[in-house]
Amino acid sequence: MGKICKTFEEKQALDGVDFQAFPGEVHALIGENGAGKSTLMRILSGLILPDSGSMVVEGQKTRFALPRDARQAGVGMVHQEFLLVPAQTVLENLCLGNRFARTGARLPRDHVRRKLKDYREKTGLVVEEDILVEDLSVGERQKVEILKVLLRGPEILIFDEPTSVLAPKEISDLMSLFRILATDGKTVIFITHKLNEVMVSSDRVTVLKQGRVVCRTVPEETDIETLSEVMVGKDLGKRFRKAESRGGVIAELTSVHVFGGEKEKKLVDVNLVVRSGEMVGIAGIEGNGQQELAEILSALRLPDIGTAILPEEIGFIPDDRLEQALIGHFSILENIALGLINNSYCRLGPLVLWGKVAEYVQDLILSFGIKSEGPHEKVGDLSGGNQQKVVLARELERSKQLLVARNPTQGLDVKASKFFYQQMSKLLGRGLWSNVADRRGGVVLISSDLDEILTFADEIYVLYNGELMQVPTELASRELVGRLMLTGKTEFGGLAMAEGSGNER
Amino acid sequence: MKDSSPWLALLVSLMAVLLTAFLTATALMLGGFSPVVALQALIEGSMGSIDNFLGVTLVRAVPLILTGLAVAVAFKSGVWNIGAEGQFYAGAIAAVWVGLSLGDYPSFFSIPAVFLAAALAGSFWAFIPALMRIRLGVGEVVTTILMNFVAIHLVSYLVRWPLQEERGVFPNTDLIVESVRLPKIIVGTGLHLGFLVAVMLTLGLAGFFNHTVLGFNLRSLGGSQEATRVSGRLNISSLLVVTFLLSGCLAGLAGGIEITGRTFALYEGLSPGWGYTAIAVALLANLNFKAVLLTGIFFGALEGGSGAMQREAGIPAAWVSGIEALVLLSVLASDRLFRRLLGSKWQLKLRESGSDG
Repeated sequence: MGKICKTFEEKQALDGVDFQAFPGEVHALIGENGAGKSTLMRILSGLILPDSGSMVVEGQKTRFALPRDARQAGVGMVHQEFLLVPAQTVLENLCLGNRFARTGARLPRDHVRRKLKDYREKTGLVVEEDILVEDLSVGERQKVEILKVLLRGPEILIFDEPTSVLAPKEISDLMSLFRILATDGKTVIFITHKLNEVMVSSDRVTVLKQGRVVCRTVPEETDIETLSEVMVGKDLGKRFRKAESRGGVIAELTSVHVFGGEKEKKLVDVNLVVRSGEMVGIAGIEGNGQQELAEILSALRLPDIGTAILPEEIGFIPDDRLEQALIGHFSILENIALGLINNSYCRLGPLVLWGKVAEYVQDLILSFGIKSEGPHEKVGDLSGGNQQKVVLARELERSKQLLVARNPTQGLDVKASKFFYQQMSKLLGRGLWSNVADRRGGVVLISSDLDEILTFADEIYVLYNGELMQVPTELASRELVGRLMLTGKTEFGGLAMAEGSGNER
Repeated sequence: MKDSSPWLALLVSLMAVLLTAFLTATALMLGGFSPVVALQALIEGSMGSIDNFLGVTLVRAVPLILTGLAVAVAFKSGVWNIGAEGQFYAGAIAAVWVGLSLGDYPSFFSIPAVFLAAALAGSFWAFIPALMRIRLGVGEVVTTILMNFVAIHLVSYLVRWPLQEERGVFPNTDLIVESVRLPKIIVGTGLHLGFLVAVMLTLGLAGFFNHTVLGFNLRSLGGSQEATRVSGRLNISSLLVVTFLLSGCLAGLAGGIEITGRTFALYEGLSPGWGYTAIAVALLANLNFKAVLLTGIFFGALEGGSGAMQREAGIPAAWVSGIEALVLLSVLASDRLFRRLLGSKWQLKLRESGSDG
């Protein structure tokens, strides 16, 4: 693939990416969240179209308009979410919608059974074929997904974060399967966050950062430290004006535990103190307990064990703005009101004073520079960046004491981000307000953007696998924090793959 | 802050009516009936005279408007209450029971008492599915439908045994006394005070949803439960209960008004499926309360004209039910069609940002 570009709205997801993978190799594609890994692979498998650039698959210049085209060209993708029918047997699932890659003919069941036997002998991939999918474990379901793709006889196999749901034993099985497939002459590409997997089982590595390829290498010529450095970048941004003095405790979490279903631990013994005038930064890769921690800090849920002492006026900027922060077919006005009228803004007893809300929102639109046709425009018709500004405008207003923000500047341009940070320092009582010590608020910034954390936070924590680890500020370097985010450890003891990834989820 | 634009609702409704006219005409012709004669009879019977319009169409529109409001309230707030029929019967049972037990008190006391009983009974009938949804996570579509059957068969039992008329011949209750019957708005026609109640409730609800904090919160709930929970910091469960109760209360009141305004007694088949037609009424109105008033009258005219169609054009009453079903189908079809023609920007946005990886 050469010079692939893809833009979503105002955000450039891929910026002139060149990517090569060869038959017979296991190729690891790594990068931070939003680096463009999945986008690139979706283009390769025909799920989305690139804006520009070219693709050559097996010596032929191609352009996939439909997933079917990619399938016919011999590209198969195993997705992160499984697409199986739980109430059908493995065999039925394998036959469902599966066709010969080149002719498009349906697969007869006997043929599938024969093929399965073939694969069992060749790869050791064993799945009971007459069992219902709902009775299978996650690892077994993944095997079914893999078999489903293999049955199409592809030459290129793409795995989107295949190990995130697997147990250590299953991971090492999967890695040996990769090897077998590659020996068979196939191209295996897998996306991952976990560097130890890369070191152990890939032939070559491509690192993406912010939509560009920043590194191409082979595991023998590199090590985990170098890779994580390349992945998260090295240059330090300008230092934000840090807190000169800190006030009393605003929020405090003591030995907080949160459990998911089936003995799953989302948060383990989390202790956190937020003081007035202080910004606490929590770095980490999504899915390590961020959602749970954010909901506890914003008083949306109670800890299962432990205590959370929180102030009254909390602003919360959720990660998923279209899901949790905004209602698409409501106007800007109504979306702002959603957060504020229940806090006795612009109301007269049980009545909403829409005229007052409108005046107020008009001001916010001006001061935040929300590009719109006015307070009555539907939020769903705004661009992503402007939607985020609506959320910021509302949540900054209600966060008199504490602001909890998850990736708050995602989708914002430089100007808007700067404005947001200005507002935040106002909340923290820096600059003009710095004298009014006891009126300062606190901020908890939960972000996967390491730069943001290192530049702005007074206290730095890393959330890994539900555990919150404090990083002493004087030691907080990009390398150290980046490594903690990716592995949860500061030292790498002999690539302990099973141990390192076994705790995941 | 506004309901979905009334113009859009009107346009969608107009297209639905045209589509329906075309489909029914075709169906009638295939059945060997003359569509022209049938339509003439329908119009004549439902609004050919002031008497027919006031005494037939509007009287039938009252329960349709009220149950239509019940459905609109629920759907707008994201609750799929298909149980207006059962809640209607619950209200009717309570109204008859209280109406029969009350002695001869003055109307200004006994009528509100009957209304209150009907509203409470309807709310209670909706509260059971609400509990099942909130405590157990059972979807209300199934539970509200099943509660309909419970109510319908409860009526069959009551009118044969405990509440059967004194003579014990027919399966219906005695007539309620004069003082709990609703006065007529215009003397000499069948149009009773219930119509005024329906109109006032419509305006009240529109105001409630547009201008009060609770009404706004219910709309948010319908817009996105997750956003209401996270950004509105509201208790979803209690908002859901409010919705169920409000919806059930309106449907129950419809039952109470039908008893006190028109039939004065309870019997099997009191409702020819008002609670189900209500879904069509609410959807045709695009869940806009004020439009429910119009679509309620439209379906009232269909129901009212069915008798005339049967007499004048020899078309079986069952055909009218068929026509109603056709209306519902074409509403849903034209709704989709219309939206596709507009090209929903919102969905496009969602899809694009969703594919960001």
